[in-house]
Amino acid sequence: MKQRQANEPTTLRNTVSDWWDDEWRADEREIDALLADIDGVRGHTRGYDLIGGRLRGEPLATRDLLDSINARLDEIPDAERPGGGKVVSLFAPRHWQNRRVWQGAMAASLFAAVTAVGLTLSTGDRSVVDGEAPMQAAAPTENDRAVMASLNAQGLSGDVSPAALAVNPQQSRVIQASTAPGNGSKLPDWARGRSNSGPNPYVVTHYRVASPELGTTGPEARAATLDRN
Amino acid sequence: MSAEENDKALVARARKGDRRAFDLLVLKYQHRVQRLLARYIRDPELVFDLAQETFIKAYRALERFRGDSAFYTWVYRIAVNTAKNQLASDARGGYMVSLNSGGSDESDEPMMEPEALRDGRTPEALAATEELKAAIDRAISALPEDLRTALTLREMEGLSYDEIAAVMDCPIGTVRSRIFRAREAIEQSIEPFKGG
Repeated sequence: MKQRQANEPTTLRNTVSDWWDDEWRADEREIDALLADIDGVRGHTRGYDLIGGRLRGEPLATRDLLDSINARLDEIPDAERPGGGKVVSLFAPRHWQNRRVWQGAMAASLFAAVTAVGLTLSTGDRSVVDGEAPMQAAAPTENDRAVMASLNAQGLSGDVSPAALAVNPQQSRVIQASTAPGNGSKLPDWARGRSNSGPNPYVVTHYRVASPELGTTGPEARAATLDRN
Repeated sequence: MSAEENDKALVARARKGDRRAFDLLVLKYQHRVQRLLARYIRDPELVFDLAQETFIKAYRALERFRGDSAFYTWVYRIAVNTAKNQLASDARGGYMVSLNSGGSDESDEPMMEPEALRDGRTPEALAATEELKAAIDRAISALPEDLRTALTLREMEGLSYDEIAAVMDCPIGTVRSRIFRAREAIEQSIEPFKGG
């Protein structure tokens, strides 16, 4: 110890003492000097820890783990070490490796995509009157009447309501296919794809089947019409 | 630079691949981390293992240290999480490490001193620890009053140099010098007992 202290400059020993107490105001050059004598620092920190531990009544026998930690750090592959083995993309600047940067870029891309879709949809059909939902007729159309005629022809008029009898544009029109549970769908053949003449291309039909526990009495068909005008 | 900034400067160097910078951080905080872990884990060997694990994890995660908190706060958090994971793992395994290490809070038997356990539980190690304690006590008692007061205020009360200067009514440079000289004197006295 005396030999080591004799060989060490007082400034280093002073520095270690200040550094240990978080009272060291260093610049980069002083840090370099401290790093240049890690072994000297190590010898003092062990003593300082013992002194402080004894004064505070703490267990004395903590262990110097630096060698064992370094041995394990040596086993870490270069690629997993800080500052070592990094693959820098040729196509992205280095700062793009910063997580926040690319997360922000992804968020901006997503926002731009959503905005683009929204703009496309909002400008797609200018013929629709303001306040009127797309795909919704303002009044029963020829197509609605054709649907009703088809349903009537199959004797279902008592069980169903026309798709677009209501003129209120805010309401969606529902065709109740059947009120009897377990009857299954009684939609016309063309709506089920069995008609030789094929479906009316201007009628879009949706099925919705709900379980009886939810209070629905049977399958229902929902029809929406496109205004051919 | 403040102490926090010193640490952050060392982290920045370690990130660039300077292992000595990380060594310095280990030297500064390894004992505190071990004492922290010893509050959760009674098995001394396991404490050493988990302390190593803590620093390995910290090293691997250096790139993710954002500097929002102090380095030691970050390392302490890693240590606490490591200890908790170990306890959870032990609990799943059907036993607690602390129960296997002798002594419990409910026991009527006097608990063995933790340092005795940590010294390998051999009589020789126990004796060496006692000698070291006695040497430190003697060295502290032999210090001049002003040196002992400055060191005690620093180590026991945790006062900053500024605060000690105010308490002792002297310049901060004098406090710095007194603490340093006190440590030098004690180090010389305990050198033969320090061992590894």
